[in-house]
Amino acid sequence: MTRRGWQLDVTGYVQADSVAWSQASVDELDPSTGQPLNEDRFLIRRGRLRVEAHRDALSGALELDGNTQSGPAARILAAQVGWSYAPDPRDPALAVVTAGLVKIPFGAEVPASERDKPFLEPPAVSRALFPGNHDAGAMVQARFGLARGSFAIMNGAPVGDAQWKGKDPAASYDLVGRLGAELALPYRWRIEAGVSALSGTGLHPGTPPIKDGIQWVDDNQNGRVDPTEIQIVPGSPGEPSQPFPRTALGADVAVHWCLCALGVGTAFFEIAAATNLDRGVIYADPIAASRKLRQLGFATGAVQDVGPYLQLGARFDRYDADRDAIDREGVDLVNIHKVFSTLAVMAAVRWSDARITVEYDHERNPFGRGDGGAPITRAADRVTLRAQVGF
Amino acid sequence: MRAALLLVLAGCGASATPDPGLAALIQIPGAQYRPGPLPAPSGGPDALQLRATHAAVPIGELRERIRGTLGAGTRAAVIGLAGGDGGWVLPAAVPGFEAPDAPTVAATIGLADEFPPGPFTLVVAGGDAAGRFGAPAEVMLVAEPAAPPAGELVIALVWDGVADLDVHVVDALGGEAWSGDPNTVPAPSPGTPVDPDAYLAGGILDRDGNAGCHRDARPSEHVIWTMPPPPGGYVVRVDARSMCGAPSAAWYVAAYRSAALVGAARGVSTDADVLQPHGAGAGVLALRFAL
Repeated sequence: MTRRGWQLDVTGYVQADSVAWSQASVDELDPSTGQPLNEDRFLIRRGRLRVEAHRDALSGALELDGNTQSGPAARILAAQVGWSYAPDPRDPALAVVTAGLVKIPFGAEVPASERDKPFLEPPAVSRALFPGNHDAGAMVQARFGLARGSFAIMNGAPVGDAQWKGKDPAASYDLVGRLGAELALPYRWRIEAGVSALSGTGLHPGTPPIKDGIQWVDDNQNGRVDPTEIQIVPGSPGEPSQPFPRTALGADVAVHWCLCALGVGTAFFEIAAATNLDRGVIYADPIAASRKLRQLGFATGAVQDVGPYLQLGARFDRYDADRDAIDREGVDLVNIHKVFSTLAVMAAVRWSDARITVEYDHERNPFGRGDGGAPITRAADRVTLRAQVGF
Repeated sequence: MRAALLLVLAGCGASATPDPGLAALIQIPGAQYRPGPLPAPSGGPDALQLRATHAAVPIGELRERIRGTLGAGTRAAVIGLAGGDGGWVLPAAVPGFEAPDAPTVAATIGLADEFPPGPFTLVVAGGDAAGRFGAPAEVMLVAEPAAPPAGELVIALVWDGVADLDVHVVDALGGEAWSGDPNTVPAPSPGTPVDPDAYLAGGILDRDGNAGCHRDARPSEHVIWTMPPPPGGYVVRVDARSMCGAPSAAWYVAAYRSAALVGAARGVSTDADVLQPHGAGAGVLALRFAL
């Protein structure tokens, strides 16, 4: 569609999920939050509408998202303005400058479109370090020969940040970028590889001044308030918020091939090591923990087309949210790793812009407690069926 | 192929139930629920002792503090009912001064509403790092039903949920007890002599359930006469101060004269009730009876 010299493109897609079976599903309420624990349900995982406008070197885009993951919700997902430099209009732009709410240019998983990802959800390391995938800032994307680069200055508060909910708490900015290469090989093989880095600042929230209070502790457990059981909880002065540094380093590689009889395939590996950067799974606050919190995660897998309509894939991801965590069990101090991992096996049937995917996720997490006293997985395997239609 | 198998095995292993265990007869907040029978001894460290603060534990309340002493090498403790189904896993804590090598475990337990009154045996078993358990330690306790408030006349309002409801009781003399004035005996007017025992003749409100939307475990309010109540007509109303986010609140009102039921009523409060006034005389009529 063209209007006043602007070319408008409207695209979108809907992902309707059915969680057919979930080990974690219980017809109960979470004792701490009061929210239902049932997960066997139908839901709209993503319903997205994107409008892009181009006029010469200028561009703009707006993407809206609706879902019913935690009840019906609608939100702005991305909004950006851009300028591109393309000496030859027939070739891809050599450089694109964008500003607004954009995808964070770290690794390969985070900047990729959810519309095209073969697996239903991102790996735990991506959900932890870059929750929501989007952040506000300015970004430069450039290509020269085989080299590809993306560099951004961003708020450092992704839209899925568990504490700040996308609102930037500090004046400082995060610097984040990826430098990579794309190499075409004979027989339609192709290799993409890159390294990514992030340097930024987080904020430990302070506390306002607190007034005196009274607390009753039923010390003798007789159900009555005895004079000796009344305690004064002294007030305290306010505590200032404190900034702390956070960093990350990552690497990714993907190999694409084409087997004539079957179709194209991809194998990928991505790893990230970070310090104080978890903002989505187990929030990293080194001031509260009195130590640095180090994270390490990777994801690897492969996807293969089997003919024009069928696609099969498997992915294993592992994320250690706190590599230095310890726990006291009896007289022993035990090193416990807060590890999340998922083995995902998927099969998809595709036709035109429609796609039906079934995926089994075998999950590991640190939320249960085993007979040996150590944290073990709280059962959370699931089978999910997704129908997706794009336009 | 071998790498794929290793990947699969890497993700396998023992897992804990996601069931929060709210249907268990004994409940321990913050502990991991463990369905099935308690672990049998399998060569692990023996539990040494289990103590409770009281010999009798009230049913429907979460307040009994228990403490256990475990054998050397214990990493975890499983607490449950002897012969019962389901236990709770807690990590072993640091030893006490009296036994520096013996880890300890402490917890606050509660008995579910459905817990049968009478004696029962509480058991703790200790497990080592390999998940092997030793002989358990036991303590005999008695489950006691929570006694209803005693009095010559008791008017009770009970409900479920987060809503802040108030009971209003108007006695035969016209005095009204509610959360803003918790005694049916009117306060003496200025200048009149004060009888320090006069308040005992009135019906007295025992608590303000879910006050300010701070949720009680079992929200209830009682207006209690500990002395013979005046003869005549009584009116009980229920006022919805705030629904506190709940779509509705089902309530039950009952009046007992010397523990015998005089009358009862059920009803439902909604947001529409919150819009009404909330002072003296407020609330919808729930029950009317005469003594």
